[in-house]
Amino acid sequence: LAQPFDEGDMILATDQNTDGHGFSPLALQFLSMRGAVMDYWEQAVRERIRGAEDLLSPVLTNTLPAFYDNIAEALSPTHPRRHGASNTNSAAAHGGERARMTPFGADQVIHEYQIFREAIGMVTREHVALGGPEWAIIDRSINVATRDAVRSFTASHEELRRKLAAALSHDMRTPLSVIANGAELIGIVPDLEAARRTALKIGSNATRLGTMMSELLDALTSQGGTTIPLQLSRFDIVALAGEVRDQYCQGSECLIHVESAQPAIDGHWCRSSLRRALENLINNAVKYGDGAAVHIGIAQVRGRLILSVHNQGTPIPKERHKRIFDYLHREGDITAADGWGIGLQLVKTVAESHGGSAVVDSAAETGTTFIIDVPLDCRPFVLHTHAGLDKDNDAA
Amino acid sequence: MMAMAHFSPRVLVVDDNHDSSDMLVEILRVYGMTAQPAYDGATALALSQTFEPDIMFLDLGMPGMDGYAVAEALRARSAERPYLVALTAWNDAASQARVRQAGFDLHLPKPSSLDCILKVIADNVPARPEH
Repeated sequence: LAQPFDEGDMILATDQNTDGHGFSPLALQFLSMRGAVMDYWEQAVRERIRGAEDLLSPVLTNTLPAFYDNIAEALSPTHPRRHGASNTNSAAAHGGERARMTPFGADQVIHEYQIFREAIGMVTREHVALGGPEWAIIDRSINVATRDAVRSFTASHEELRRKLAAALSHDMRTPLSVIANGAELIGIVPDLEAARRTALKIGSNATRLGTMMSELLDALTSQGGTTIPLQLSRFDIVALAGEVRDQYCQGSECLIHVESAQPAIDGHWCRSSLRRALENLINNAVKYGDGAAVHIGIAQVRGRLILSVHNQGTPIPKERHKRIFDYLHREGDITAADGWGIGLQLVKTVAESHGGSAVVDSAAETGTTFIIDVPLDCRPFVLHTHAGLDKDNDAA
Repeated sequence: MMAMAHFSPRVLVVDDNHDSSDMLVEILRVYGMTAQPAYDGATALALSQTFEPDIMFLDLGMPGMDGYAVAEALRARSAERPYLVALTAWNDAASQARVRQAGFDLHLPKPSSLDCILKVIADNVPARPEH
């Protein structure tokens, strides 16, 4: 079991640290246990957490392998990451995805992190010499991640509750008021023509009320989050990344590199929307990368695709990590560095429409990484699809 | 209706939802009042000087100048006239507090019954002997 970390198995840390920069020998040992820890965790979660038993593996796994590798970085004395949840919104993305994709409550999100700690303890016990200082880092990682995840999880539900309350308490009252007044008016109006006119208004406002109720029901059943219709097909994401790279690198020296754990990674996604999301990330990375190289990283783990774009340059302030994908909806806080947000809303929407998440990791020492973390096969998780020829191909 | 035969208050109904304002205006006219709709805050403010309403029903959530801003501007001119009623779907505690602060005399949640609206008018607009 205690194999040294296999170089063919890509490191999944959210700073796209694919070459294991700064990893101590102990951290590499810890890293080599990722698969076994995730196996233990997945089995225990399925057994003990209600609602988890029916979830497909990619949904259950979520962004946790990357979190595990972040802890490995934090365990390395020379790596700048302080704990597994620092410099990234990865745990918040996990909580948001739990709210969208699972029937979990907040207590179950906490429970799965508790099982994660237990899994690390049980699986590494015989193989990795984790002492007091190491456990302090692991505990801090899990505690902070749990808080981030629960905060984001409850915020998703809070937002839905607010929409629901607004719809019921405000939006629906106006047409209701017109209908009520209209009924009174018909009762007292002297001529038939005026009564008919009023009846038409009552009718149109009743229709409006009905539409509002349908929209509200849609919002409730889709568990929050905005999704766009996707046209799913089977394709190789490494080839797509290569194509996108080539379109940026015509003639001049190319600063964009594609690094993949495998020469080809096939999956079911929406080609055009993933391409647009990737282009947006590359545009941002080139714009803010201070002229240094931009790396597109591609890895797969436990049924998930981890597609990342990394650049050097001024980091994004920590307080903006959790909100950066909502840039277009933020009012007021426009500052000099805010060009970051352009296009990130789309990246998030594309990731979430595929049943996954968008994650950011940014720090002065490690640069900035944006990650699209989605299931390899998105077909079971995509609510809205374009009717297209691809459907027939995918049925096979 | 008979009780109000000699009572013809001037009422301005302000709501960006045309159905809402038009409907209430029509009802009040059936009751013999001089009622007028306005569909935005700026028009309401202008009409308050030319139309000289005794009482105004104001929606709060309107694009541009909202109901609060209209009330504040009116109160800056006169502390008492016209009588200002917030007729709104916003019925939470925070909105009610803002309504008081903006200088409204009354807060009525939507939907409000016709009886209630007529009573508010009858109770708060002094009968004018010359009409």
